[in-house]
Amino acid sequence: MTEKQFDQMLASVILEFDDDDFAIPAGCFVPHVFSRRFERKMKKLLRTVEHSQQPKRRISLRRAVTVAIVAAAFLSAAALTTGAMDNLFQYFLPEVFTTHSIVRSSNDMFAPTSFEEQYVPVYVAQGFGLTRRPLVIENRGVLSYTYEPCDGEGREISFCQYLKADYAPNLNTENHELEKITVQGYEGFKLVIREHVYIAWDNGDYILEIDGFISENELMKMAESVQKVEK
Amino acid sequence: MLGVYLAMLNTDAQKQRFETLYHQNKSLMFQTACRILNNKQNAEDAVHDAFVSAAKQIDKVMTMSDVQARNYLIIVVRNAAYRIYNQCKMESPVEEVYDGSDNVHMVELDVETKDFREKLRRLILAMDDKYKDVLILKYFYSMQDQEIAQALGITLENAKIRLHRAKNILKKQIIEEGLYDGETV
Repeated sequence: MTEKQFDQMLASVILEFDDDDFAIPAGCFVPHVFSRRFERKMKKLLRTVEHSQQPKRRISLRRAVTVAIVAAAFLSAAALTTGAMDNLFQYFLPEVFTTHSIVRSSNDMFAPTSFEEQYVPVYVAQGFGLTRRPLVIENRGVLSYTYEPCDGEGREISFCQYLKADYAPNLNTENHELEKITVQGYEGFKLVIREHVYIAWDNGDYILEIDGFISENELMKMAESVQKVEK
Repeated sequence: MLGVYLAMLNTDAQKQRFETLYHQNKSLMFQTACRILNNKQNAEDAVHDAFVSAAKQIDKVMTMSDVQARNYLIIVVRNAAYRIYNQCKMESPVEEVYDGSDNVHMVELDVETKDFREKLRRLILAMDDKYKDVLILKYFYSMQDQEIAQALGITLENAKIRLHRAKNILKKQIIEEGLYDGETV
């Protein structure tokens, strides 16, 4: 019998497997309430799947429309006051909807397409520690680190490094505004929804993002401390 | 424009499919992982790792029926749980090395009989999970070695070695059970 024949035989037998042949755990289910940490990580993953699956043509079309809208907005703003221009971004393209906004990078043309360089915050807010197992979804364009409260109480701080082409968070901007800020000398923006603070900035090569339920000052301090990891 | 709309529908369908699989299977997957790890937090990590693997292979998952996807996710989460279990034991992962010395060759095997097929099926089902899973992914889900490696969170080399060993174990058992009349070479 040749190897090929053996393969064919195996395939024909295994293809006839029915549901009972798969080791599905038997017995009664003990209901489990998943932790907030798990739900949060899954929410992020679902968001990543959503964005990574968007076809290129759609992005291109949407970007073209967005650029046109932003250009129109820019011209309108220029005709009004210089104060109104403060909130316009040079490196970000916010696509504003009624209840939310999707923000993309506007200068990803020459940005790295892999994580040749990696960044992490050197300063970590007091009472938080890096999770044992950092989430790496490299082929989805994001490196994600989670900092958990040391005492197990409260919510996490998340730090992410995005490839510019893959950055497209869905942000709740219903009754909230993106505020233009500067982080490490680079353009960025801040969104504060009650106790939740979200900061993102373009460091030239990547979009860096940090968010958590801590004070703006502490989160900003972490953001300002981000440094390239020396290999 | 039609192409754009179709592409949008496809995107929504993929997202919806993934979310549906998540909600349908997370408890069962947790249960599977918990039985191996006996630790809720680690079991949740295993479930999450399994969904990360599934997300990486969303195109493949889209082609599966609900039952196939469920069984696939169970295999993936079981392997994720074993990986975490090994990590918790602080064991450094050992790369398997293939020296080609365990090749088993068979000749003149009457594979068409129903009795033989049934016995082979039982042999496969009785195999260690790590070997059975790799065979199921290979032959039931028609996955490439690279896809198997990704699903199980192991290197491509390890996936190939595991598959090779799984087949050799089966061949040896076929011989030991006297299921064929030929000779080994």
